[in-house]
Amino acid sequence: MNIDDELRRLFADERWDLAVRPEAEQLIMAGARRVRRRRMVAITAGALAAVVMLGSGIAFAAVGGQESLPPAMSTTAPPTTSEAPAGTTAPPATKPPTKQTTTSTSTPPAAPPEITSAKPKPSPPASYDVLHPRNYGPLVLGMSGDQALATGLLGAVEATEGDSCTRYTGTFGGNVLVSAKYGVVRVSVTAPVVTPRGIHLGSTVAEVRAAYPQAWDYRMGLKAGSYSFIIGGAVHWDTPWPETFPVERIDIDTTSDCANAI
Amino acid sequence: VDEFAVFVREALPGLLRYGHLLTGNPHDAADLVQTVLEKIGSRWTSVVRHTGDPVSYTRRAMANRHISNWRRTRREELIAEIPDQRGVRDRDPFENEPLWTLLRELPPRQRAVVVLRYYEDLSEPEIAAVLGVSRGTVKSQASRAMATLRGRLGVFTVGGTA
Repeated sequence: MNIDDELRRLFADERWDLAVRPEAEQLIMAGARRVRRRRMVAITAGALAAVVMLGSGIAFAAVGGQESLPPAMSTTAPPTTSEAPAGTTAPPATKPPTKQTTTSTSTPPAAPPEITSAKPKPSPPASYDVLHPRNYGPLVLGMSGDQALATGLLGAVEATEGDSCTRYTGTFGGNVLVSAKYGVVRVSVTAPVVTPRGIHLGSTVAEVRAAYPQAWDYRMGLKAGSYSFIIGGAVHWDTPWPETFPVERIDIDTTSDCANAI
Repeated sequence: VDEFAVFVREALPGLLRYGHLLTGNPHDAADLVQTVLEKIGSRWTSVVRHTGDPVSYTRRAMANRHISNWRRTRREELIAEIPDQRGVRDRDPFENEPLWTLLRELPPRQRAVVVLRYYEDLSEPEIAAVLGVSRGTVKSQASRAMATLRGRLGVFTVGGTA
């Protein structure tokens, strides 16, 4: 066969098409406005803070943005108290587990809490279950919906997306997303679990970055391989997650045809 | 900004498809498209003024972002920690397509070159411009990719003449 033709045929396959969600346009428009607003504020803040840094607005925003931006710009951020004037810390009061991160709140905002290795690494309670990259106990990414149901870890149906995707409550604390086509595509855990590298609920962004140097920021938190560490607190995805924000959910996921939102 | 909305509406299906080809899965495709469009929308006027062709510009941004994401995440498979689970693999709508199976295994830059060449029908200089690399790089990436595909495809084609 002619490989050129084969490639053209493959790329012409209609299965590459993805359905556009009805709200996609609004999401993008809103996102663009947020990015723009953030950049404007960052540039202004940069100009005020250091005239020398003129011309490097982008670098400044990327490096210093999260600790120097005035609270006014983080419209979605939870109201920060006077103890954290720069709006950097103040992780949401969801459930910061027993950890000694309190010292960082008293440090001046100009000194970002970057020395992760200096912090004593809290050893997770022994009762934590291990969340492996591809499985949580008997629940393995890619296994069929029936196999997943047979584990007894799936509870009630929380949401569905047509016939193709179903989200179940996880009896372990969290949920499980099952695609008719791909099987288990995501396991979301809010129960006490720990990854093989020691990240658990309540670990900070800094600890995630130290354990997974390849972790990269995305809208909900940090991704590293099949892991998504969902970070509590609000900062737009275009800004690096502040080091002290806590992990409040850990997902593992794989190839999926489910909408991001489900 | 209204103009950007129109652009999004018209370009979105094509961009998602292209993102799907680049990333190999719907989730990353959606993430990639949204990320890039938000950035482009945030400075739409300037993009239009300086590029003249927002669709090309967007595709270029997507290819580059995807490649750079990969650079950051390539070691993420964490093989050492994968428990014994023979037979469990990501399922994929194209899992029965030998060619796609091979494409998936190409490094993103090589795959991007193949997608740009066979999906976008771009010439070598155009691909070089899109990816911001030299023509020589495009040539070498393309030939490496094609050699891999040709070399391995024989394994799949039973009695084939590849």
